[in-house]
Amino acid sequence: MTFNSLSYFIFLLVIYLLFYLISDRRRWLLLLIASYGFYATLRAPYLLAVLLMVTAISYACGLRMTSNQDEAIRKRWLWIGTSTCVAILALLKYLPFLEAKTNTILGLKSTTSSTLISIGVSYFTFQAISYLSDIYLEIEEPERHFGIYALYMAFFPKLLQGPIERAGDLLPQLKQPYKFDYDTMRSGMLLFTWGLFKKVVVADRLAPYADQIYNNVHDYKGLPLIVGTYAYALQIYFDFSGYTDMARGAGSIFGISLSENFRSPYLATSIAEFWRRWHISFSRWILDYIFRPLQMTWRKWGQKGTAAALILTFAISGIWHGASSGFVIWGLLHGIYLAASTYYRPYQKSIYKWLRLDKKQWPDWWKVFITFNLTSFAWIYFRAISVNDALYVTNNILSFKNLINRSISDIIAKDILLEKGGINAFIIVSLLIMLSIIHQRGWKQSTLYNLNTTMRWFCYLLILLLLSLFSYPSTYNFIYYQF
Amino acid sequence: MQKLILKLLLLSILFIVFDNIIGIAMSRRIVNNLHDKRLYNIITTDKKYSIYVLGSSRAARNVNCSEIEKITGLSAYNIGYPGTNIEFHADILYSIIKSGKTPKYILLLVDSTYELIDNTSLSYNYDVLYPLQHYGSVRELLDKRGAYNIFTKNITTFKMRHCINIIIHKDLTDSLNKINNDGSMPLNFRSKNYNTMVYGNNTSYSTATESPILLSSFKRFIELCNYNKIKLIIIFPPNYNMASHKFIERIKYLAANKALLADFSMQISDKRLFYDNSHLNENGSLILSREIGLYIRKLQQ
Repeated sequence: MTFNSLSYFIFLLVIYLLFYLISDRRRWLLLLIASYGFYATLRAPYLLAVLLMVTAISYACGLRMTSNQDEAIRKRWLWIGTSTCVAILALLKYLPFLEAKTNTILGLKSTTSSTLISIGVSYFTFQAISYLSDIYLEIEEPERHFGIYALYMAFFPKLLQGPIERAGDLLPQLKQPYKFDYDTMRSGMLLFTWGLFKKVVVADRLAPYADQIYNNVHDYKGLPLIVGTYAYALQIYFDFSGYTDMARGAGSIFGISLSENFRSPYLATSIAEFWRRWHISFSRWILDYIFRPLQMTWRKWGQKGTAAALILTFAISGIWHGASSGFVIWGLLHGIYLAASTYYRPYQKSIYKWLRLDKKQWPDWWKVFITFNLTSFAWIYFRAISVNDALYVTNNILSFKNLINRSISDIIAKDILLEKGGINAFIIVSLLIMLSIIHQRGWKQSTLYNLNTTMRWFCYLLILLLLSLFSYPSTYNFIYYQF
Repeated sequence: MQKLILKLLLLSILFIVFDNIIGIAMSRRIVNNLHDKRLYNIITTDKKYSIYVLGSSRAARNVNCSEIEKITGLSAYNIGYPGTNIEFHADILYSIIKSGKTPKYILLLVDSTYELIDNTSLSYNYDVLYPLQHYGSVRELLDKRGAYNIFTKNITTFKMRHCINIIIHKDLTDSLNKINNDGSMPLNFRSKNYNTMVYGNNTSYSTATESPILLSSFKRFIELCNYNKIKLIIIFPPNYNMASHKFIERIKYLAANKALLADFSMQISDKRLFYDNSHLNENGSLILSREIGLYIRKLQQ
């Protein structure tokens, strides 16, 4: 059951009606059963077993840590908990890869384990690790109610792709009595619809462009490779942020506020800012639980230590995405960008002055352009089927020889519209312009509520009709499901 | 909660009203902008034909219905769709019958050797049906194929998303999809691979590779003709290098006593009359159509 399926809408409606009708005492139980039921629809019973195991282990380790004042014992329980979570995650994510490699070397046939999937496992194991760390650092008290803790781990709107919630943010909300609030409900439903719009109208319409290029990279040179790369950069953003909006919207319907995961990342003026705006819950997690401990360990090396910690942190983040060299290179690129920026920052002002870019307004757009292109360049390694394909794209993306002696209409039709006709591009570009105006004007949900009734209802209808008319007929899975 | 339910109800009513208004406006525009109006004409006009030609590009490109009309004196119309499979042809036939245009003859041009084998070049072409989905017979076909769920069945704009390109732009016309008044789509130029074409026979064909879905659609096609008392003529069009005797034998076996078979697969061997390996050019199609006309005239006598 995916978020953009009819069955999910029905599921959400039924669960909400039951949630509304029963007493507060039983609501956690309903949400827990619904979350496990939702996870069970993936038809991989072992995933449910893994979720239960991670929940039980982290719950027990959390309690053990607080029942002991001895630092060594507390540390031991932290290690037991976190290493078990990491081992489970690594096993599920990399066993199929290792098995496939071994089978290739030994010439054996694949067995059932190669079909293992790990949907959602990363998110709840990360959440368990952050919970244990926060208890160890005495930032949070352990949750004593196993049911509530299990719900914190499994709450279905954020189970498959996050956001990765901190115990301090989510656990108290799960214990609060529910009171129907019209504004919260309206805002949740609107956010959910907006997320759906981003996914099925924008991301899914961009997907065929990126797929056409990246599934046949060797057929293209220059402009089409740029189009495919930009299409993917936008697709992955609208796909993932659309999912997050839907998750947050669904959370709001149950009176639970989930963390913001995206804040217009492609308008960031530096890579560091990009990571403060992109997949925020994940970047906060890797910053707190990987980068900071590494930086502390290597602090004696000063700036070099920080740079090394950044590179290693992002390499790990790449490895987390999957057992592919492309992901590792993507992570390394981001690590290198950030490490380089630590060296570049002291000279930034003088370089701007030298390039006469120090006038107000202008540098911001220049920086946005550079940052967007740097992240898009890294996406090449993330999206390409193999490193060879990614290297081909890198080597040929700026090759414009094939534009010579061609008419502009031919270049537009073949290299920019990729022979898909103007209509898809027209819809995508119109929607992107609309979204950027919405962003530029700083429009938020509250802006909508401040409009007069006719205008507000007109906007509601417009969103619904656009969603209905422009949603792409072929359904694509959410990209981040695989991670 | 009451306030929310009331507002949601009101929003739903407004949505349904606007959805229908936009839907009606769009369906008109779609039809106006449609380049290939053949199925639309069959469904909506009173014009009846005695002969319909069905099949993939081998039907659309290879058969000139005006030529058949001249020889037989019977009205004929080509409703072949390039790139489509037998599942689709059976549904087109169903639409023709359903709209009360049951003909005397159906000519089915089979794809040697892919008629019953799954392959990427022949598929079920939803793009032909979606623009006409507000007509009962077409909607029924799409519904049967599971194209709708509870949402898509009742929301007009949601159904229209499949043909949004036709709403905004007129269908693209180029030399490959030029349609004559008799429904045929002749080719008066040569394919890119023309010079590498080699004349020969392809004898390989295995029933093990047949698709159960295509096989049952083929049988359904024959049943539809028999049930509606239509004379079905299965035609094996000329192939420059791919005529398979095993395939012809297989079709003969499946259609035994239920259809007439006309084998023209070896009738034309002059390369100048071909567009590519499996399609004739305009001159070749005139020769084949004359032969088909003579075949039907013999049947009438």
